[in-house]
Amino acid sequence: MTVTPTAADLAADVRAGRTDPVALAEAALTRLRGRNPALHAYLDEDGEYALERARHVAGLVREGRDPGRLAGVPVSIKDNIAVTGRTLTAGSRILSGYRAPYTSHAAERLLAEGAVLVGRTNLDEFAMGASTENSAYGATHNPWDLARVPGGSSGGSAAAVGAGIVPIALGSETGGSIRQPAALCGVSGFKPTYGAVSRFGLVAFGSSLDVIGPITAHASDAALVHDILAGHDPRDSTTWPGPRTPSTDAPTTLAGLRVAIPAEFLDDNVDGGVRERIEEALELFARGGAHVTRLPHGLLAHMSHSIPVYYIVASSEACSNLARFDGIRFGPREQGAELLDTYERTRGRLFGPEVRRRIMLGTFALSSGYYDAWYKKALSVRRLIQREFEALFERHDLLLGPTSPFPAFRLGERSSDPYAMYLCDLLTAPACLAGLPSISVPCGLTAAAGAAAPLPVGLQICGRAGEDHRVLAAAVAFEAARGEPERCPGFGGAT
Amino acid sequence: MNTRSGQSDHGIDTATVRRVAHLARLGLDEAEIQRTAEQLGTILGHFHALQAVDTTGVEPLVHALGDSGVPAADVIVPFPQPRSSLLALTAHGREGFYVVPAVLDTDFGVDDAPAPATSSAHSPDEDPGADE
Repeated sequence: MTVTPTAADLAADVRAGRTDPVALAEAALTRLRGRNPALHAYLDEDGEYALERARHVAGLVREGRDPGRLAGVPVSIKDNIAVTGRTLTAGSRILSGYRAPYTSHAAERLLAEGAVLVGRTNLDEFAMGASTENSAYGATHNPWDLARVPGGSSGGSAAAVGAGIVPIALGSETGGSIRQPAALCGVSGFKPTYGAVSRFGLVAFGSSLDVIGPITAHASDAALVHDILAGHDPRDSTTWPGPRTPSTDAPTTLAGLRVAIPAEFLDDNVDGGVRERIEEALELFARGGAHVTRLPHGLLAHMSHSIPVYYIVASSEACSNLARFDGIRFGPREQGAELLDTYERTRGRLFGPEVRRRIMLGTFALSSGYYDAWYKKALSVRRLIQREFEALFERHDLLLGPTSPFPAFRLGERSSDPYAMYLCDLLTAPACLAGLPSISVPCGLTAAAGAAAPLPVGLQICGRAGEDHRVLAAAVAFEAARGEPERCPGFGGAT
Repeated sequence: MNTRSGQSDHGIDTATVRRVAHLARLGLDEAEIQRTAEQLGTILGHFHALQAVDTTGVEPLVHALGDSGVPAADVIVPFPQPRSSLLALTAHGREGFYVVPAVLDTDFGVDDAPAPATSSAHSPDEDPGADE
């Protein structure tokens, strides 16, 4: 029995004239203003813009026209996804004051379905991080425990949904940035197959990895939003031109699913409490009629190299993508005597430490004398990782495991050690490297040392490339079998 | 880790950091050059196990779609807004152009050097799709 209404429920009420979308927007803005001072989940609230959109939706309903599948639903968008006239800082000082001159494909699709955009969410600078502490505008706090991180890089989006401010937020993922914060904030986060959703209007980070996906309070809403976002877009040539199966057409049952848990997903790096919740989730799959197989060590032998492969590949692509930020065409400039001096001053002073580190790592890996040893090597091991996943999917429909090896950690706990922060991506980077669809769904709470209260744990469900619908349907079935996810204290409240 | 010589435990010395920073157009001060040498050395030390993986005959995977990507149509799509909308995003726009520090010497060594372009010769807003 659902306690919290789904976004689909809210939209149905608006479409039927039972709920005023302006009242929905005002309530979301009240929650945002009440909670954001403590959470810092938002960089900009979009108040007037939201009310204007809500009035537009209300007008459509009055005229007897259908505003769409997200009619009047308050939605927040990560501040690296463009909406005309709204901020687009990417969490960086180098884009402070910048406003997007056009709208992303993803936001266009949401607006076309009647969504009301109520704010721009915080992120690690250029989506590089796993805690949102790398935002140039200050860290976001986890709504379950304000002394802890919300995960990252889509930490603002996950905290906003986790706190009940909005039922849907958009995130982007390159190595785990949708799923990991969703897990740490007790909500669902879906990373689609690479190429399923257009990145037109997304500030590029790692172009062979970047995807856009939903973070939602209910798994069923993740399926709804993905169905809205997915599809071919000529403005992103990596999107598939062919037909796709809507998630809502897939059977939402655990019965008959062939699921497996690779031993590599439950190794010694995984916290004991997280492991217990995952074991309970496996039991639930089995009770629901799924065929659950435990796979021995070795079938994903190259997964242990995912962190180096990911950081070399993503950083190499990032150093190229971020070359455009030079202080000339947008954002502030640190003027030098010469053009080169201007580039170096602007980039050296306005990029944050983690972005500078990754640009250096990527430029090093691509530089003469190191290219074969690092970049080409990483790409070759990437293929081995993808092959191992493909082999597993010949016999299994879905792979299960934890999303994060540990629950939310304390602010500052990992920020002084870059490699310790990189290890947050241990269980999410593999699906990114292989381009696979994967969702994190809440699967219970666990105690954590020093935490005032138990913290959420996320179950990762990963599928074959192109089978986003199967992953989402399994997540919906799991949530239905388990019941409404636990909600954080003060969920949806204005204070 | 030997920081005194600027050499990290994975062989990243400060000269390499300076060279890479220049390639990346990143202005780093001396303290950060030292720190970056240490951090990159430590990070690459953690990544070193990659070197032991046998990748003989393995084709690099550039992106997850393999070779199945569909090229975009090779056509110019005009930006739907006037050029001024983009120039409004910088504090360094003037007369339809971006103002940057001089790249070339202004003295071309000849008396009849061409005059700089002005908005009177060309109004960029009439040509919103033009490249800058």
